Amino acid sequence: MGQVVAALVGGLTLGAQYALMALGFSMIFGILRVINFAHGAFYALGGYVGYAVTGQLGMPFVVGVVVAVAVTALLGAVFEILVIERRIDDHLATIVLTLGLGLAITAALLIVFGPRAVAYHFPIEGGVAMGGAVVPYGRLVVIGIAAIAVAAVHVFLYRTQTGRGLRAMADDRATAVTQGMRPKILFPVAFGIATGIAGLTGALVTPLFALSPSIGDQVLMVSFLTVILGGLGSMSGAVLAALLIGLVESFTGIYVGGQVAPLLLFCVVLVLLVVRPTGLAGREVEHV
Amino acid sequence: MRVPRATAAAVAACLALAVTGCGADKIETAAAAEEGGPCVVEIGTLGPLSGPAADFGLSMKGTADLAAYEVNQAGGLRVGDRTCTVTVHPYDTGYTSAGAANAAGDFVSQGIRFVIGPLGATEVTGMKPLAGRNDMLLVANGFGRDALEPKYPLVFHVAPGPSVWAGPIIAEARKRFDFQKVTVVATNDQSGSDIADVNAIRFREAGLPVTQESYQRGTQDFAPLVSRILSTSPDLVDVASSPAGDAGTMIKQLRQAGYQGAFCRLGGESTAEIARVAGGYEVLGNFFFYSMVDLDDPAMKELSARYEQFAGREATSLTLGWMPGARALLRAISAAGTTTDTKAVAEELRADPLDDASLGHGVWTGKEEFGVQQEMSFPFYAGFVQDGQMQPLVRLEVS
Repeated sequence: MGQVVAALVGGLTLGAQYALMALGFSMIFGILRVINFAHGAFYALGGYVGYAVTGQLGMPFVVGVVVAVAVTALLGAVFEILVIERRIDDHLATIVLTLGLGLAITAALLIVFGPRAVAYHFPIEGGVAMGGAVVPYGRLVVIGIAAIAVAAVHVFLYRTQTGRGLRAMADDRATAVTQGMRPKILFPVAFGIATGIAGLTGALVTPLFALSPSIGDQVLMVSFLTVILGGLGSMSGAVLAALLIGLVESFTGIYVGGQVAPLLLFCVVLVLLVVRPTGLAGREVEHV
Repeated sequence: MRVPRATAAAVAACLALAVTGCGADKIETAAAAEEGGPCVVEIGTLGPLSGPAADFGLSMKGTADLAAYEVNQAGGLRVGDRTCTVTVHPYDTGYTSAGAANAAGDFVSQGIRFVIGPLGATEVTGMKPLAGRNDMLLVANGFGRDALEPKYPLVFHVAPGPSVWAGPIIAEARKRFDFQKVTVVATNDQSGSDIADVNAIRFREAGLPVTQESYQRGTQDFAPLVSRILSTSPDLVDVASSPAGDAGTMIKQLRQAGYQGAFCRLGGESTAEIARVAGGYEVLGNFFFYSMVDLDDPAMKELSARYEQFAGREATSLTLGWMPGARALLRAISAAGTTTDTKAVAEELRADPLDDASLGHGVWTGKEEFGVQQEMSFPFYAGFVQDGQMQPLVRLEVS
């Protein structure tokens, strides 16, 4: 029983982290049609900003998380305005540009904070006993905040004027523009929100694990996997896929072992994509 | 698209000229160095210089830097009738076999023939073929079971692996800590599994039941692994050669999940880094580890101060522990009187008495385990953290 609870909570924590990352990744792709290869680097940057504010300046953890969100969101929006905007319809150029930004962020972190992992810890110690397993409070906090963040993004996209505008841009950019939607405002907003979410995830999750400059590489890979499984551009699909991947990773990790777990995870994804090539919630696009 | 024949022929001729030109330039440079031009001995060094295992790679780079600094401060390295400057060329492998192979290619293209490194077993495996084909001399560290092989006579071991020191350290640890059941955790690649296998054998030889767990390099969340470990109820967890960042995270998560037992690290020494990531020495609780040197030893303090003088940061015990190997390599280059003939340098290195100014007298080992006597073995230490407090190191000898 203890192992089932541990697997469930572990899977939900991983799923929450992947969901937040995939949500932003999917948002940028769905609205801007840009694959953001700097997404993992924004995650690492969020962690380091949180660490700098709490660990080095001595501010409360919450302040660190808020500053991390603000910094990553601002950087993302500025990058969209100054760089991406100029090459928005050139897919290869945006891939190279975001890849370059990711490398630049990682290199900057390496120079400023050094290559070794830094001591960035969650402020709440201890855990709660559940069915024979001890679940750290930190994990419960992450799951809770991730759920709130996902709900907030959903409300923003479906209940606000700006959100509707963003969805309209995602559905049919040309028509949306003729209806008065302004990509020069909406695109930086979408990019900023997405990178802000990556920063939030980094600031929130890395204290539970470890924080080093290249930490975003693996996260980027899983985010990519998640959005493909969920259906490129589908935000609900991304969240669903993230939870599925988190749970598969956790349960196979416990019951099968670390040697085979990654292989099994990719097998599950492979089978799902063969059965459903558009992903869990993706749509088929008719080519004319 | 069709390319006119004349254009294709012209392009091919230009490429051929360019390639020939590159090669000629390289040969000329090497020849000039032998004939009395400015003499520079370039030492390659490689390892993970970023990421969770950066502590290891930077320590190895630190060794190469310190050895070069020492020689250059003393006026240079005497090679035949010339005095040479020693420079260091580092390469970040990302702790991968492919990264090490790329480094070997880079060194070959730059004419670098002497290398301090690589570091991990998987890196050594990745580098040996290319290094062997190009007569590159490696003073490597990898703890892999095939780290040294008779078919690679230019590969030396800068220090012995756990097969030499794990047994004595376990015996010493049992005098202090009571443990009956062990779990050994490592990455599922050669750098992890080779060391974990050897450690498991040594624990079993000590009469202790052992379970082994592995994980994918790059794992962030060790919760599934923690659950698996807890399900076997060990009272000692050996994080073996896991990168320091991973080991620290694992220890932190095991403590959060309620694990009360001891930890050990029978792998490369990174205690300070592990403690920092885990949340401090009190989180480690009872912990023992292999260390190449005693940082409180006056000779080590002096060497450490020398390192700090030029590097501007503290030396790790790995940096200092690998110094005798680096010094022996430079001595051998000097004795052989050549900066290009690695076979002649290897001959001199095999004959080196391993008398080191800082670590004392060492012995050549490796014949029994690898079939070649090319492993430098100096006295080593068992380190202990008891109830969260660091204890004085215990000196042990190679048996």
